[in-house]
Amino acid sequence: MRLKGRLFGLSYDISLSNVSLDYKTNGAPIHVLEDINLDVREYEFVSLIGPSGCGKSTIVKLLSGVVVRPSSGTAMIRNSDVQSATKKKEVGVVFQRASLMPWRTVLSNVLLPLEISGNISKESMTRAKELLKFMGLAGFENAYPHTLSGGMQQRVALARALAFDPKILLMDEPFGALDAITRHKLAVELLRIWTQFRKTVLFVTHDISEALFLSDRVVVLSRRPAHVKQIITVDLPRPREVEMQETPKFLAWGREVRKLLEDAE
Amino acid sequence: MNRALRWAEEYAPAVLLLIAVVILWQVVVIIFKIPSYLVPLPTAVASSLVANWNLLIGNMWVTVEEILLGFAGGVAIGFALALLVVSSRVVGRMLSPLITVAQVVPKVAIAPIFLIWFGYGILSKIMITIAICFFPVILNSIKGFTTVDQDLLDLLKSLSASKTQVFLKAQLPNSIPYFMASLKISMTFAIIGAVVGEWIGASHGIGYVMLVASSDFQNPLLYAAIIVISVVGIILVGAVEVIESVLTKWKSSEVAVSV
Repeated sequence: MRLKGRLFGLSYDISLSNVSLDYKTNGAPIHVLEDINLDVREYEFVSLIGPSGCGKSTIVKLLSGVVVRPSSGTAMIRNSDVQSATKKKEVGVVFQRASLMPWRTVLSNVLLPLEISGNISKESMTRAKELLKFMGLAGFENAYPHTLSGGMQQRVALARALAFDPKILLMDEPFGALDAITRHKLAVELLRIWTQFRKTVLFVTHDISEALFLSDRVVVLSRRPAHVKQIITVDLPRPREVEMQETPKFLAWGREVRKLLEDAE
Repeated sequence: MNRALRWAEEYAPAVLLLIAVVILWQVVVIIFKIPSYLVPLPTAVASSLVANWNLLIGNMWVTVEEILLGFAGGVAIGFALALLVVSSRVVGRMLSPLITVAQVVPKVAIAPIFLIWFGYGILSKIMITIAICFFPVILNSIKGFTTVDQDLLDLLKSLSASKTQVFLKAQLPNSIPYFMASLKISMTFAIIGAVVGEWIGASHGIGYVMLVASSDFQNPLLYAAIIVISVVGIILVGAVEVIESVLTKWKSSEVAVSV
């Protein structure tokens, strides 16, 4: 199937093939990822879910160029290696903590990626302001991060990830540190952004219904070393409505994922 | 108006306490007939301050010059060394242990050597001041450069930022609160450095006035000199605080500073 896809010129936005990864430590190397295979299509929303500490974040780090390369296998983004993909600004990353620079204003934080690549222009400035407005942060351009709530900070982080209009959004438990209500609000907002800006999203979470509610596919990972246990296709119609979470189908998926995770523990 | 009121509210208690202590001091000295060579009367100190105003102020400027030049030199050297230490691992390994060693050497003890090397004039005082006040800067700058949030470093890596960009966008701004807090400590050290330098041997400066006053048993003048150098200290440290608050207005909380 993988090979066939390649042969027929079908390409993926994210493609992990036979990826294994060991972290070198002072003692024995830690085996984190074990033969991961995952292809994410253009505009697809895919969630990674797995027991805590299983290596979900490592996958994001691998695809965002933070961890340089897998021990074996290949990680590709839009048919090129991760390093050149990050240089081409194809990937935006959102971490669990907003990780804003406290000495920069909201607007200046959003502009950081453009500054790094030397693309600051009047146009990008306008775009950043529009992004902030779209995220409900109009009027906070010149505020410092510590004056904002956790949810607002995470919105800024999202705006920053979108600043150079990447094709792919990698999100590592982006709402993990937020309270349930804010979390759900931001999840709904994320879908709005995803629809509006047409991104390919790889979303790491440990929240089952969040994963099902957001995603086209949910990838369930085993405990460390992580490998793909099962991939569930969530064929609910779009746009997703909150009520869909009450449907028998949704609940059945939830039970299935929970069962898989419990087995993984 | 409102600001003035808040200011008064902030500082009035301390000023009132100070006034009370001075009054108590006066009363105690009079009641217990404490001789002037032990503790002079506040009023005697005040009149000595007025009588020797020109002498005190003239010598004050010499000391202020030593403080400021020594402080500037110490800060520049401390910051430059911190840059060197973080710029390369090898340089860091070379310098870090030496910095720690130099930190525990009592600087006041080596002050006489500086007098031999740099002479009786202002230069030896500046050098002593530099030696005393650059440590807080180097320690805290290194701390500031090296305690950037790991997520921020990951973010910059994902943006394929260069080493220089990581330094300019993250490490340098991250160090500012640490750096500014260390300046406050350095400034108090610089004042000590300059005065101690003058005690070792000088012909001008507040420290010199203090030496002369104590050897001449002019106790009120000694106290007046202490008041002058204290006021200098308050103003200089206050100035650093003002600059600090301007440069770190984004900061929500205090940073822990190493001395």
